[in-house]
Amino acid sequence: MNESAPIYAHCVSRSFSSTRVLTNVSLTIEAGSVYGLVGLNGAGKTTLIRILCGLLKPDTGIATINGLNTWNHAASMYQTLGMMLDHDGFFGNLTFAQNMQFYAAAKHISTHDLHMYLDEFWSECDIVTSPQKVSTFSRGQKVQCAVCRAFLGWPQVAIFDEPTVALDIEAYTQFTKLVRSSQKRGSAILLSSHQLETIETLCDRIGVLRGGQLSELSQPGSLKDIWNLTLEGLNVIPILLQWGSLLTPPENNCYTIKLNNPETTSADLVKALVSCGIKVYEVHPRETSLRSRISKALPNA
Amino acid sequence: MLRDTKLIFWKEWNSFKASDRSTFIVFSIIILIYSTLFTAHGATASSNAELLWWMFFSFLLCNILGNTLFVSERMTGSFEILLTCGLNRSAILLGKYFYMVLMVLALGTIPTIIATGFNYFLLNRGDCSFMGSIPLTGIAIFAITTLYSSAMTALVSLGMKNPRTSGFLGMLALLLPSTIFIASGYSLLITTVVTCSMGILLLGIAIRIMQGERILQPLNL
Repeated sequence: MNESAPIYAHCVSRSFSSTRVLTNVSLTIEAGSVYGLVGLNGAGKTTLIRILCGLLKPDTGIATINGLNTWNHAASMYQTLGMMLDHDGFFGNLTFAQNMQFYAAAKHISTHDLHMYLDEFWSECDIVTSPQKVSTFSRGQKVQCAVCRAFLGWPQVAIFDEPTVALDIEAYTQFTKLVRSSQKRGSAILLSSHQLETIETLCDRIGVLRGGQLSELSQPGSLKDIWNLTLEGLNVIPILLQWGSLLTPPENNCYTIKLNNPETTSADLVKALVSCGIKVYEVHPRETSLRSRISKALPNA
Repeated sequence: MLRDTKLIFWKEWNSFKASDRSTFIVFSIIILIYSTLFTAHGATASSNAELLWWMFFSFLLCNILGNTLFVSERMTGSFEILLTCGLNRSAILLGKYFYMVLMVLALGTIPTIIATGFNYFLLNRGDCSFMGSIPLTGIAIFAITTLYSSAMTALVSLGMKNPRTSGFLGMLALLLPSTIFIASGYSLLITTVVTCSMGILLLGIAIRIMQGERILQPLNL
């Protein structure tokens, strides 16, 4: 555990009345990484996010952003934190430009930097220059605006609660572009979403909240660790056993193997088999999708 | 702190210009009508019952503004953005408080002076100078009650799970200045000291509440 990491939580617990929502949750997100948070409704994702944003106080444990205790509400902490909570939170009577002007001033971001940011990333987006009040925007437009606001000033820490739920394809692409750009600039990003495609595409690490406890998936993305092979040759089975374990008995020269190392590519495997004099006719990966892995982690999903 | 307070003031003023203007124009007209009636019989005749009416007007305006400044932002979630954008929490409250006080004072005072002018010049009812016709005691009572009512409204709007009760609580709280005023034999000085002290106390409690998570509790409307 790195206490000075951009996002750090140690043994955080939180209850509401008699309901325990989080139990000893520990989490570290380093600079330049994107962490995906998944879990069923009511699992405690939003509670964890609110604790990390300093909106809720943990009953026990500590949460810090860039080494600053979130419950102290230090202005310097919020200068480095961009966020999008479960609602857009705009001042509906103001235009988007006025909202951004206020937000930039609060974060000590100059008007010049604000316009630079808007020109660079949002010049094709009409709502940025819209003279309409934000209250007249559609849900998707508000979410898009909230994404724009969260990345203003390229904060060292960015936290998103369901950021892509109402975005159209263009806005979604823009969001992924901004996440990548922010990541390259060294931001630590926490992304809570039910949309596994978003998590799979963007995240380096994935945590599953279940029963108030956070467990991390060993590796994000789809694992290609199970292969169907059609082979012909002598001593095929001993050679295959060097690479993994056979899941089913061989049938008509077809083998199903679970590799010891999921990082192994088909080229590695074929090369090794051919060098042992085995003829390789077919090689098919059988993916273990992120969805099925999360479903295993969440038995009630 | 001062910068943050000014920033909140700027935001509230722009929100007002964008949407609440018409509501407050209507209120100004209502106050103008009442002020015309109050001042129609000359400055010295501001009866004590009329002074109690000033108190009630102050409470009413504070309550309406409090809904806009605090309750609606808590409902829409924009209050959370205010709390997490790097502004000092006390400055957020003070910005909104002073905005409320100034708006209510402007709404109460300007129509009253216009009404006095209307009576003095057009109806020629003034039996003393124009300045002497302005109901200064009424305006003073209005200002004192505004300082107190604004603090009370801020406290109730932030701390209560059901801000709809702020109207009832405000009415109850209004008993303090009116009782002090009557009990002290209509002493402006005693009423000022007691009411302003209570206002400062309530504002202190509201600032304390701002530091906690109670302000983010779900609203029960």
